[in-house]
Amino acid sequence: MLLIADATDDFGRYVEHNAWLPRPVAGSDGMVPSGWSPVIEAWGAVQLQNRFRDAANRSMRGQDYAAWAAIRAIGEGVTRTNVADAASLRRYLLSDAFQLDGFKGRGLSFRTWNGQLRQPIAVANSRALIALAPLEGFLHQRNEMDTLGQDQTESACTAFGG
Amino acid sequence: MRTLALLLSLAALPATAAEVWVTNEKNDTISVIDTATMQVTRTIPTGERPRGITFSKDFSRVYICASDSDTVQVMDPATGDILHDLPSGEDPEQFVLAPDDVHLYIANEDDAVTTVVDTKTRQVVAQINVGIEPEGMAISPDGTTAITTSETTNMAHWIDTATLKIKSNTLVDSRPRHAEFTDDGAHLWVSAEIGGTVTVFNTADQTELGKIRFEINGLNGDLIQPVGVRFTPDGATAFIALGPSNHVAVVDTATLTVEGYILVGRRVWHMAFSPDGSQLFTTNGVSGDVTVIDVASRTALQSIKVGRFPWGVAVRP
Repeated sequence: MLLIADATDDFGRYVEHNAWLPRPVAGSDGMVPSGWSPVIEAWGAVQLQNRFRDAANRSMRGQDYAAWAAIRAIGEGVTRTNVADAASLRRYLLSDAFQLDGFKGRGLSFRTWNGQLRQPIAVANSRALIALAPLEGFLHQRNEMDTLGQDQTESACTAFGG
Repeated sequence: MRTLALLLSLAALPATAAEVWVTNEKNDTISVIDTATMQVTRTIPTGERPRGITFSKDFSRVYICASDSDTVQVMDPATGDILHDLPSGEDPEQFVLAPDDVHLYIANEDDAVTTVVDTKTRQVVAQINVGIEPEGMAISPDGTTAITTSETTNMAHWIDTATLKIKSNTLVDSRPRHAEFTDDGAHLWVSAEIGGTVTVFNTADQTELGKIRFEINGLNGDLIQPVGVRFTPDGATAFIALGPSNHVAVVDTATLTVEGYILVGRRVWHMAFSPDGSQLFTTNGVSGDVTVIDVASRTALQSIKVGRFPWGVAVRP
């Protein structure tokens, strides 16, 4: 496996099929991990992709998905609690009761220790989804999605009282 | 004596051979399984992405939601010929045939509407605005109430079939995918795929009677994703397909307690009983097969290879 770290998209695109040794390429090119990819179609994702395309005339990317999830979480909070004040909603969104269907086959929630969205991560190339992490076999005592991102013991965040 | 032996040997076989019709979402085909041999005897081409499938009351017609062809196809089950298409609205996913054998209630996933079609005149009778991504469809046995569940709005919408207007909305857990009335019409069961629950409602006043949760040893809870729901003919037991947990739950309908889990193929979607209720057939999307469950012993007997991503299933005696 050849991992490319090229967040500014400077050289990554020239590496695939040009390496000295035949290796699969991943990272910022080849197999790319991201919060969302236009190639996701399972778990009802086609409907979300279609709605975004109708609204924005382009395909949905990770940043778009994050914005959508944020707004959708607030909507879900209001529907479930029937209240609209920020403090109550924040409390509900950070509670165990909150769960969001994010079109990735698992219920999304927020990590109480740092507020990060607990979500599956897509590993995709330009044409197809290859895998959706958490991958089979990566276990976690609380939630398999906590094998991704910052776990409670690794977090130094204090903004959420953690 | 010989006659008696023959009769006894006949009695050991299923009462009548039947056909199990399975829609293969990614093959654009239907696989027909003969229950006498448990073999696929016919593979019939359909429109694109066939999902919901149901027979007319006399089994002379089969209706197929061809989601990506934006149509409901009407097929002669004897020949496999498409007789005609019905106007279905965009992206029909599931539907339910009313007890009058005439009106089809269709969920249009991309359009947030439920379309009502008269199968005789082949005309759209009404389009009813519902929540985002309607999917689950049910109709009460007396035909007075139709249900649409919307996967993103997370509600069951109760439609008065006389006025074709929504009379009530009830919130359920995330991503409701299927609704099913009990045979007496008294209760409505709604499965929530991401929520991992089944909510049971009292039909008369739409109040919640209870919620069923599932727990399978060695499996993370968020992989338990209920979709299809079926009741045994005596109404005592419900079978609930639990998606990527690869199990079907067996539930006592009186107490709403889970009595057991049956291991089936991967990503189990929907189910149908044999005409005598002795066997249950499940569609397993990812493993591309159908599991045959013996209802009395609650065990999986065998699996039958069908097409890619089998989804809907209906039985024809």
